[in-house]
Amino acid sequence: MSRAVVLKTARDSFVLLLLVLAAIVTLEMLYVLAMGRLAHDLLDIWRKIPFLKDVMRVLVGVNISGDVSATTLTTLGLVHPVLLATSWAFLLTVCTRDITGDIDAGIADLVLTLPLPRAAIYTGTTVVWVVACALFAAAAWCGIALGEQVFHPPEPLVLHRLLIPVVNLCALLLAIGGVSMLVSALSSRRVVAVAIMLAILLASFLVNFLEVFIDQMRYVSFLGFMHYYRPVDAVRTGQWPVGQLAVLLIGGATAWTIGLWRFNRRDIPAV
Amino acid sequence: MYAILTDNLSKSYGRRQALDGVSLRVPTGSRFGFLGPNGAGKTTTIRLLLGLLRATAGSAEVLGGNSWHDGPRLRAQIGYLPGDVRFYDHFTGRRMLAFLAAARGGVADAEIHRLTRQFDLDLNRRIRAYSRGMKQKLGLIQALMHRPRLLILDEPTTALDPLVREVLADELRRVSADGRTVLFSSHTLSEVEDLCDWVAILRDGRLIEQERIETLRLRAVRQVELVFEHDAQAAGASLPPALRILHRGPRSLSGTWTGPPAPLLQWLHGVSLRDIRISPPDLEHLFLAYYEHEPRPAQDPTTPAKVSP
Repeated sequence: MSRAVVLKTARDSFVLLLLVLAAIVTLEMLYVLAMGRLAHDLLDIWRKIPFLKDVMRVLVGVNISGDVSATTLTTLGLVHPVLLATSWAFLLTVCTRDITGDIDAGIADLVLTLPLPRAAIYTGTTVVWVVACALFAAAAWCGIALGEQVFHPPEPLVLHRLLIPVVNLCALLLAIGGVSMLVSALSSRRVVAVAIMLAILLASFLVNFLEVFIDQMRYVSFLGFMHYYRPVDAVRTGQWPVGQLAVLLIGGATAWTIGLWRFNRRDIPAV
Repeated sequence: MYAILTDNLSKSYGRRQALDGVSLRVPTGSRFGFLGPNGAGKTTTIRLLLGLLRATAGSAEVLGGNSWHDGPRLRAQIGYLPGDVRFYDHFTGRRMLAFLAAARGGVADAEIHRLTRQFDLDLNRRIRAYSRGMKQKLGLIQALMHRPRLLILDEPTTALDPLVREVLADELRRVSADGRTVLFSSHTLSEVEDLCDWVAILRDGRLIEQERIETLRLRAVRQVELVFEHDAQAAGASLPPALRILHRGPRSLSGTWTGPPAPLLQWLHGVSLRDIRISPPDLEHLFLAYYEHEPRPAQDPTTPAKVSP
């Protein structure tokens, strides 16, 4: 691993990282506020409009009906599209920058002709986004905790139980990062790598979504990332989703390792 | 000793053969011009030498090491200016150099200061505010700052004004005077002729010539115009075979002379002339001929007979 590459990647991503962290903390705080005030009404709306209930089921992985605790409702903030979109955007930005070897965007010709093994560039980049994944998950938890302190919801939140979906979120982001590194190592153009990753994430979301409406989709839904991220379920039961965590972490690590192997051997053409 | 030694180096992308059996010998300490039209394979060769590409066939030895397997160790001793150099636009020039220096394990500040002065570049501005020429200067400074044993410059004079070209020429002379090697890729003969002592010509992925510039000059064409003392002398003169007549008047001849000038001078000694004009050797003609005619068959890598550093 190269310290210079780590520092450079960290500096490159610093402003974006701060923006994403601020967005996550703010979002989660607002979610605590909204859930405290609107929970009753929202549950009524979901009960009356079945489609919305299905949409929520897609996002959180279980049916939300009947008595749900404030903690469970707050968990919805951990599947909010803003949280997912901003954190994924950060991962795609960092993972595809130098690893694609795109001469236009990544100045790869300079970085890759430094006296550094390619593995040092790969691992140096990895350190930054892995730390970012942990920070994003921590920011989500901190946002909820801060929201509770500031807005005092009617029902207290069980913060320690929220650690389960937060860890699950971290594993989800790590898996997406690992696959992004693999896709970047296989691509010579950054735009292609980003497009492929967006397609994968969209497909993952779509498969998960259709599973609720089309029974046969359950045969392929295991291929999507979101299949292994069911925060409400974990908060309700209080059980650690060991299997889901294992799939995300092992899958992400495998993709990352194949990416490293490929990156070490691939051509860096002038594009 | 050779700083670069390739043996039958080939690279293909699918069915497209980008480089075909190139056996390049770049003597240590030389300023080696690497000429060829756009798309001839110069950049592909350079990327193979830097370990950015893996050869489909053949091998490339750089500073005594294998260009692919010894990549990081070799690159510590190589300075490289890409043809289309890019930097992080939000960095200042100083920060960019600091990053590259740190990744190289440290570079002497004194050398950076000297080069910055030489190229007259403001390092405190953000790179996004740099002109193309300023970015090129920054690229040259980063390539030179660690005093590399081998300097690989891919079309380095792009966007440089004549004054900066002169500074670059001085730097390259200084590099080779230190016994370090310069590989200078270009598609312009005149700058290679000015800056280099060796040249290799690439066409359609094949190496069609590598030679000392001086030796090539001997093979280059000179324009010769002769005005004889008396009428009809031109018609009756018995000419040396190397003199190719293009125009014949009653008292004058004009044509081209190929090869060393001594036989021409010897022949002229026995002819009575009123006037004479002999041009300097015209390498441009020679190079255009290389570009226009069918390339020679790929050379036998075991017989790089023309190279004698």
